[in-house]
Amino acid sequence: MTGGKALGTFRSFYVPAMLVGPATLIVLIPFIASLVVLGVYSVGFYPGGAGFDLGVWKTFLSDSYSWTVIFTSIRLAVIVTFFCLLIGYPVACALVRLDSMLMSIIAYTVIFSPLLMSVVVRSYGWLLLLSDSGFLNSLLGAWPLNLGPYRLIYNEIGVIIALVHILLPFAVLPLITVLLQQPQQLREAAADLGASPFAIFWKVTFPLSLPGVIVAAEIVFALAVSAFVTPAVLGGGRVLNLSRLVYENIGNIEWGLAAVQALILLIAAVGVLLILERFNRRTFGEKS
Amino acid sequence: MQARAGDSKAAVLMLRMVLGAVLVFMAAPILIVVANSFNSSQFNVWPPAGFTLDWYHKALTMPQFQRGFVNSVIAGVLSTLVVLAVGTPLAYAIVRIKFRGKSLLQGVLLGPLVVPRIAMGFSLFVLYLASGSGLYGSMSGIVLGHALLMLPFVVSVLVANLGEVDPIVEEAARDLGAGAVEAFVRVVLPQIRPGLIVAGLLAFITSFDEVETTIFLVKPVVNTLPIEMYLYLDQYQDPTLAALSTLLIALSMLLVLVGLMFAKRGSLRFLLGGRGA
Repeated sequence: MTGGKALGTFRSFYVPAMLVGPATLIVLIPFIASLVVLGVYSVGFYPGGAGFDLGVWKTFLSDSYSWTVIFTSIRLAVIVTFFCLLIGYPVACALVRLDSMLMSIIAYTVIFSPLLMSVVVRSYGWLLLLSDSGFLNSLLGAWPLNLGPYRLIYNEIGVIIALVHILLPFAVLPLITVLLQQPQQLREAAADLGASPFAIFWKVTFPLSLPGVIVAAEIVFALAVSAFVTPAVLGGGRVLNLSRLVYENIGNIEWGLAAVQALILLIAAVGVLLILERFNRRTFGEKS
Repeated sequence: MQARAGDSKAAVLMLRMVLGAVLVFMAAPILIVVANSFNSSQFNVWPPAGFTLDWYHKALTMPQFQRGFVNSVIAGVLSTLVVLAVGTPLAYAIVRIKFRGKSLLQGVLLGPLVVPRIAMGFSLFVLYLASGSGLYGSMSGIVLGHALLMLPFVVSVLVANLGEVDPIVEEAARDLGAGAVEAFVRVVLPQIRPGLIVAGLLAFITSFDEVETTIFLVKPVVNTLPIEMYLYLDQYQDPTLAALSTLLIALSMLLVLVGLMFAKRGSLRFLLGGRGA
């Protein structure tokens, strides 16, 4: 009897503990601990800090400059998300319609292989394309156009173009998934009932793909709002977002301020995620 | 193009044109980096002033890039091994076992995906310093940080793969007298090989390319290659970086080809979104 009970405890506690334990111990606990330490730092408990003090929060949040930076981060992320969806949607539609294996391999490789390359490499590529004497300006400046040169780097335009490039694969992937899951019969039925291709798209395909659109928006927004390398390289220090500010304040040994900014960045990313997720659940919850 | 029900010809033509334009857009920065690595002009002037291989020589001989490459390989291999070692049993527990706190665990597991990389980097930096563990500026610190960033991806790939494996084979092995560990190693592991390879590649590549968290965890001796490249780009913009990037692009292509060959069609299908084309 006791032996059976011991075996039961063994099965229900020790086995899961042994399987889950290592990951929890060396990955998940450090993860939680680091966020706790971040919170503690932001309220004044850090080496050389004065102890409990909400001063840094108050100063940061009452400074109009901080809000400019917060809005820059959010504005950039919203614009990048918009373009990624605008471009990514027709691309996903085109990808699911490819029927030759060769074309599929080429298209998937070209769209997804940039994910294998460092963000530094890709941002550098855009620097080469967009700089004053770079490829694009020399193309536009040549006969017969004779345009420009346009200032495309060290401002938000360059940052947005490069970020759309870097984040587009993250938008396309969930869109393909959701488009492939749609039963072909639904569109066939709509066509048989006399719906025009336009009506089929707006009444069947598009509404059914909205959950994928929301997932794509979530991923792209979260990555864009916290982007660091691309705004640094293409913005040349002139495009200031929250990530940049955190980095600079750590350099200036402003621990408290950096912690506050990192937390605000976290709140912005998680906040938008929760809003979209709630919208997703409210609209599609009962169906999926 | 395969017409789908309810497609109009004009719409399919337009989709084709958009796809073509986007393929050019996606390839352009990569191609320009490769082209510029042979550009003899120091200031990235286009069209190229002449052909040279000097930048390759410079990229391969600069000590910070050599050291960075070695550090990146070490960090990539170690963090991949660590994350697979802790992630595989975790994924197995999530798929096969009922236990208390499972949904909490899965929630926490999403954390590293949601937290901005910069915030993650700073909070780990602070934790390393505050804990007095000496992890800051050490290879162990980088490996831990990378394993943390990768765990959600690795577990989700392995959970998906394990979900496809029929538990009956493992039960049969147990009935025939194999111990739990033996059954796992000899029956389950071989069946999730495609998942392990995809997850491992994903982990290695992410570790190898990581900047935004890593930059807070390193001291110059353990700087990884992308950090060195970022710092170089901050100072100089000559084509040395283009040459180095071209070499890395070639390397990552090679790595994927090798991975695909090992995983056979399993991961090709994974890449194509599960279509048996």
